[in-house]
Amino acid sequence: MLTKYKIVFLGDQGVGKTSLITRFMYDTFDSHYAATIGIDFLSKTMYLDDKTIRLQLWDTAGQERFRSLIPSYIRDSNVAIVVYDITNKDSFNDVQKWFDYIREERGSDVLIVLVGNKSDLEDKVITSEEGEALAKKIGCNFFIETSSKNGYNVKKLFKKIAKLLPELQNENADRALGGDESTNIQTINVSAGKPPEESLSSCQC
Amino acid sequence: MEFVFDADTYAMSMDSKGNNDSSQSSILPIPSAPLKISNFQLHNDLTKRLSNLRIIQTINKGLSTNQKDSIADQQDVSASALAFKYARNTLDLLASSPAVPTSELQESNDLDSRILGNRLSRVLNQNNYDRSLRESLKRIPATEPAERGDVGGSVYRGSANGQLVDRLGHNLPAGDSADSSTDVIPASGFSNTVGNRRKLRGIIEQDILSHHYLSLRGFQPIAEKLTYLKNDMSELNACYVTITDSLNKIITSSSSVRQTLKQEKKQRDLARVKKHLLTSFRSNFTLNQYEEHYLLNGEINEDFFPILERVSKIHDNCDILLAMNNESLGISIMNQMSHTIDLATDRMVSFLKKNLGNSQDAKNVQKALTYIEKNSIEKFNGVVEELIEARSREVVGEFERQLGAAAPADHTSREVASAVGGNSNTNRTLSNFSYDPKRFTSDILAYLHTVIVNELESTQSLFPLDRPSSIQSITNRILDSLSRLLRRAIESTLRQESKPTIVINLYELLDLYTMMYGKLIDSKQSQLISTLELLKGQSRERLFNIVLLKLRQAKIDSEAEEIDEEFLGLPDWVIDFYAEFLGIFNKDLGEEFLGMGNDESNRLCTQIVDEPMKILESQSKKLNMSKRNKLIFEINGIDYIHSKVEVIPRLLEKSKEVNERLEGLVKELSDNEFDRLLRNSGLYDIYNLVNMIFALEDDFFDVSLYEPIKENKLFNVGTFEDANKKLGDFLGTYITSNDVNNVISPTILGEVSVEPSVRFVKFYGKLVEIVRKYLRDEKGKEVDVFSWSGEEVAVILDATNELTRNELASEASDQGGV
Repeated sequence: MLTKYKIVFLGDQGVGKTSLITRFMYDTFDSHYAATIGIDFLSKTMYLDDKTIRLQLWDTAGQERFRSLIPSYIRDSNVAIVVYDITNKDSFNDVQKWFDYIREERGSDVLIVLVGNKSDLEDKVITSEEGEALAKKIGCNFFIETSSKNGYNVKKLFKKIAKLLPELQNENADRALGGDESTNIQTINVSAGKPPEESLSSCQC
Repeated sequence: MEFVFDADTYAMSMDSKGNNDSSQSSILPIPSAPLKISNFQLHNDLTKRLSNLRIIQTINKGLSTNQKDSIADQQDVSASALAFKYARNTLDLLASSPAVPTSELQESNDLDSRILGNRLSRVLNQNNYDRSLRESLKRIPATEPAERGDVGGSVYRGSANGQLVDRLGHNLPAGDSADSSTDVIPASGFSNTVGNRRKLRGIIEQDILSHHYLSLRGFQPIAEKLTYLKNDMSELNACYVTITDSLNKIITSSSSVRQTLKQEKKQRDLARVKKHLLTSFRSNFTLNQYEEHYLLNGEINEDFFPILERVSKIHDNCDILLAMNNESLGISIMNQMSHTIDLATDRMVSFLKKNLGNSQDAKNVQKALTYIEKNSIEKFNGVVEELIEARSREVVGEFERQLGAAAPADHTSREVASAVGGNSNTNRTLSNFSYDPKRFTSDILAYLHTVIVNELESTQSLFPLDRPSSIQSITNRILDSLSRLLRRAIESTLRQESKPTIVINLYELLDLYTMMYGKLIDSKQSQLISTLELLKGQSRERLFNIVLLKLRQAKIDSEAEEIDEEFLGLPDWVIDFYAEFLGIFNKDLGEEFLGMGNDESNRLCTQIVDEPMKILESQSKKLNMSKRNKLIFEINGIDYIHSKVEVIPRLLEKSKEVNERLEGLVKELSDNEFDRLLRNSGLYDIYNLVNMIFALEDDFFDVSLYEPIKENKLFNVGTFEDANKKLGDFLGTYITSNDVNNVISPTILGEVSVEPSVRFVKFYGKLVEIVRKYLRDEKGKEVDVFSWSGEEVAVILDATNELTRNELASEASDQGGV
């Protein structure tokens, strides 16, 4: 039976949650902004090594009026991806609030990933170090900077998540999901110059 | 002297002449090439060369069969004729030679000598030439002159003509041989004719004979060798004949065997064809035991379907058999295959019924479903029904568990939970938030959202993707089973909910999820979405019910509530009612409020605005207090309603209605206050009297119009003295009185305070003028009955400012008019 994993995308309005999913799903980018209404759903099968998994991607609306819906989706999710805009300080400040939502609903029984999106933009106000520091502070499983526009690190993000999923990780799952949170962070070095997107030979997504 | 017929030389000489007798050359066969002694390899090529030798051929021919004797005789005859022809030809040649010019003859002789010389040199330079040849050559007289040429030390032999001339020379007198030879040849004329000619003929014949002898002698060793070989050849021929005879005998004797063999061969070929046919038939029209066993007893896996496909193919191929004369075989096989297919299909149906629920083997399940759909739509429908029933049972069971309405989930349910949520460890169910209707409803709808997604994906994994309508249909039917529970859960929540804002929130959730579900499933066919629409309607109804309940409660409260007459404040129920219901209008719910039509929307507005006003009016009427206080009470309430309603765009029309009602009440209160002023001042009857003559409210005033007032009995000094007294008393206490101060709205308070006073002051001023002109005492003198001037009254009634404004406005209008 194909194992399904529920991934919920959280973050303020306009940080690029939908774009991130679109880049992963269709490898496209639409510069026109269209606010998500309610919750959108997409799914994709990932082939990783000798395993095949199905990722169910739940794209939440960032608008305040839909905020009440989000806890219902966090409650049975396997992975929560908190996205902020590296050019928007407020979205970074709200990360803690999203983290509180997750912890309230799922405790520590969930993978939490912090994503700094829009790395292609010049007017960066949140540095990679700040993102890493916050990820360590709130106990995220890992932090990564991405760009939905040019696809930077997008596949790597999902590949990394897939490898951290319980069934694939086996004994590492305990370390990923529990244990000392301070030593649980896996940080991807994003300070160096942007390398070309690594080829996911085993990942046919 | 030897004579060797050299065909090459002859041919060349003939060519050199250019015009030889073509008839003769055509008649005479070209002689066979002489035996090339130089190439004669005694040891190696003997048998090969022998086969070419005409003598041997002749011998062979002689030995071959007696039947060919006659042919041989004919050949001998022809050979003799041929020899005769040669001889005659030679003679002709000799006879014609004198006609040839000497130079030409010499050239021909030289050419012949060169050719023969070359040939001899080739022969003599060989290492393995025959000794007999050397001996033969030795016999040739070495008397040739030097000019004839020695070649390589060998004796030159001239041409045939030359030799013949030599021979002739020996028998003639000495002299130049060439000249002598010509002399030997008899000249024309009768004298030398007979004798010389006979002599010459004898010489020629002798020479020819010796020449032939010499030629034949050259063949002697060969003939000896051939003789030596003759015995072996005879033996070989005998063996050959024996073997041939034996073979003929064997062939004759084995003809029956061969015949038998031929027949056997035919039978074998026939058997092979039959075997091939049978093999093909077996492969095309029968199943082997393994395949049959696998279909009927084996596992339904990847190996199963190719066999099943083969059965179908055999079944289809039976059309070929049915086209034959005897169609019974085709029918028999078809029946057999049909039976096998039926059994296999039944097995697949059982397999699907067992495996559809957990989808462990989705690939084979999909194959089985596809096959059954293709071959038996009834069974396919049965399987689909089973699938729908199984999935419905599972999703309903899990939903019940989530709602806390069922017993703890069994193993299957946990699997479903895992599939739905991906996390079966959580103990949190939807019922954990049942105290929070909004969260509870949100969780239910989010849970169903996940179920829809999972069921869609599950169904898509089972059925081919090229049939989206079937997938939608099946998914819809599975999800429809959740409708009852969903309706029950949400209805219960709605029923228990008394806060209109929460009902609105629930409606918004239902509306949002209707849209979100509609992205995944077919809205028109989905009972789940129909249920959501139904629940949206129930939300609206619930809102109306809550409003009605609240109004009913307000009515009860209004009847029970005691209003303090000294304050005439707002009734509590009005405050509570609008605090609770006006919140529903705070959200922007689009053009249609909660999806209501105009009628429903107007009904709601009426209930929220009109009904409370009616209750307020009713309550006001039932109050045991003065009319003025009732009016003030009512004005206070309606003003409150107006203040709440006028800020809500959706209630704009109602706000206007409320305002009209409020203005009416204020006007009534104002009139009431004016009457009170008239009564308290004792001028009420006078006011009515004056108004009866000519209405005082009109801006136009002419005191002469009121002259008829003199005829009225009331118009006397006593009446006005009493009025003056009352007015004095009233004005003395007016400042301290607070009759209209209970009006809450400052605007309305000012309106109901100033406007009657202004009216009274205006009336008072006009009345003073009327009294001054027409009121007389008994002596007919003018009486000054009013001790208060108009200005004093205006100041006391606090109407100065308003009057001033009115005057200024009036002057301005007059000036504008002018």
